[in-house]
Amino acid sequence: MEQRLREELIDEKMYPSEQVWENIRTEIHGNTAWPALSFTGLFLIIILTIFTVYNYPPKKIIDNPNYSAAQNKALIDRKENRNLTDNTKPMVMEEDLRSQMDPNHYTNKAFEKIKDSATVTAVVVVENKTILTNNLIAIKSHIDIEPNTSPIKNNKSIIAYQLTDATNNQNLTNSKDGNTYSNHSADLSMNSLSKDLLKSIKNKVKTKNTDSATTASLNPENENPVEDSYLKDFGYEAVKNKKQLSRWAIQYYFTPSVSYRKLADDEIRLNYMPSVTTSSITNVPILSANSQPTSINTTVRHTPALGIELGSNILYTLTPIFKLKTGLQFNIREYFIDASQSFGIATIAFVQNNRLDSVTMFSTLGNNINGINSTKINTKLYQISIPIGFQLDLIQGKKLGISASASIQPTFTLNKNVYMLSTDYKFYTNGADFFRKWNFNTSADLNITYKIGDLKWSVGPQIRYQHLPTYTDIYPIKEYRWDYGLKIGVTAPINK
Amino acid sequence: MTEQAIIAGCLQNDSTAQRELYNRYSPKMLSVCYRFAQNREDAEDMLQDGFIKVFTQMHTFQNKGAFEGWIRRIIVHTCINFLKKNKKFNDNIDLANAQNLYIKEETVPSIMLGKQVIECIRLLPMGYKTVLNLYAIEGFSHREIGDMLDIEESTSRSQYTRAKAMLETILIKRNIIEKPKEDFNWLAALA
Repeated sequence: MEQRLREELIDEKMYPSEQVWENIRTEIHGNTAWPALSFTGLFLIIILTIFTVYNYPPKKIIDNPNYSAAQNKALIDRKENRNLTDNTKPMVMEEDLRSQMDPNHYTNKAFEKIKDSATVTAVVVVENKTILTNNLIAIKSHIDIEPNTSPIKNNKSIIAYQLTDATNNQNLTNSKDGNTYSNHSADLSMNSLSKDLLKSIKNKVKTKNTDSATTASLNPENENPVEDSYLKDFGYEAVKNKKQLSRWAIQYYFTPSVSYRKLADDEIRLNYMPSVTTSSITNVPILSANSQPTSINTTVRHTPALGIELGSNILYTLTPIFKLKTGLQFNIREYFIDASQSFGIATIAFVQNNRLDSVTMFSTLGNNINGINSTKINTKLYQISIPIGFQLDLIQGKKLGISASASIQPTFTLNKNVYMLSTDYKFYTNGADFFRKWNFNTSADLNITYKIGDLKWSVGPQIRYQHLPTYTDIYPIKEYRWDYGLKIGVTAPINK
Repeated sequence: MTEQAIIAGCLQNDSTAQRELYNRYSPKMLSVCYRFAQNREDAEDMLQDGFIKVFTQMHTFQNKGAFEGWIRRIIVHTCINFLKKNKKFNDNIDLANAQNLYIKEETVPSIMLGKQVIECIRLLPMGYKTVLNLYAIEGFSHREIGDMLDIEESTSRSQYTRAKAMLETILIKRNIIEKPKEDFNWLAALA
């Protein structure tokens, strides 16, 4: 009886579920690290770094409470002084100067830069006695040295700036060097110097422009400096209202897309099969070119499914029509394989060191050639990509436009829900062991854009192509994927 | 892949080689586990533990004897340890209660012969089943079985005798084997 039992049962086979191997592999090799967290962290660090660099240096002095108090006091004093109808009071436009000049850089050098810039010819800065004196002298000397030349060269504006009224006793703290500067010492000579300067400017303006409205606008009773026609004449308004165009923009988009694939095994069929004799074909399960005259794509069937791409890009404008972009993108790609429920051993031939070898795998999914016991295999993949590319604004109308963009996308696949075809085309089996986690995709799209306010909406077709085969090079059947999608996005400028 | 290539790959912790080894031997080994286990889930747990030991103890394989035999011994020991750990021997019953087992028999699917025999073996009480599996199918001696199960060698023998008798009964009842014809008793006929 023992002999009979042994013969009957010793080679008996049962097939374990796929989960058993997954558990064993996890136990031996550990869990695959989920990289999405790292990617997200990296992305946030990049964004924060860009914004930090972009906004550097911080405007410390403006946040200084002493400075704010001094500003408020100065505004009140200015209004009071205007009510006194003192025509010789210098104009105060600290907001403009702030936009032109960083408080940490109130130096002679910075002053000279602003003075020579396209929008400002002269600036009077009253922050401390030294700077005030130097700057005033500089401006004064500039005017005096060129008596025959208008200081309003090229219609440049003149902005006079006084942080505090020199006649008031107002303390200021420069947060950068920690020294306290007092305008208490800014005596009447300083004030008279300011008055002299303004008078000088006024006289020159008068000689340049005899328009009575212009001179009248110098009257400080005009509460709103923006509406001051004197300033209008010197292009002040343009300086005040003109928004600084940012080179940076952020784009959000999503792309519903359908995935297709193409299989290719011609290389191995042509290179290896001629050397394989007919008798050994069963051992090396690759269908020869003779036995399988048609393409592999005619023996497998798959149904495209809807996937999606979600992403965000940072755009940097190099020229008015050319932008560089990079960002982070999350993809879901999916298609269904038509298979059948059947039971067998899937044999996979593979090429290693220019030799053909094979592995066997248990399979419950057959290639659905006859349509019997049909079932669908879902191959949903989750991916993280880093698109790096450019955008061309081909046509830019007032509202409508056309743009094209392209990017190359290093892509990491987070899961391994893939099924590969046995090399005799009979079965599908889990392809996780042969799966290529890193891949490269190229994406190109053509969009119609429409501006609504600062936002630019875009919609257009997109194609995305996977460059490397889904499986590693040892698997002889190469699978290439591509997606057709409709990209919908919105781009917003990042204002300074 | 050749067996040597698989072993070499497994020694280098290569997942492809490990997968190939698993694909090649797991069906047979699951059948072994299933004969010891109470259900398929337990059998898969045993298989999982067994293959983890196979992969982690691969360096101990001396290339003496069959590789499959080495794996089989690891799997069998894993099954025994699993049963001990989960105290599966506690529900042991003796031959007197064997008739109750026929109630369970109705749930056993009737499939091909090898599978039928396995299902009949699985109907045996745990102690009987284990001894029968180890002695009749896996080829362990009663001394080895005694050491493995922490029982006396004589206990193993008696358990096996009873297990065999019970299995024969089940096999006959299910028409898998024929009932042996009794020898003609001439003395009784003449009386």
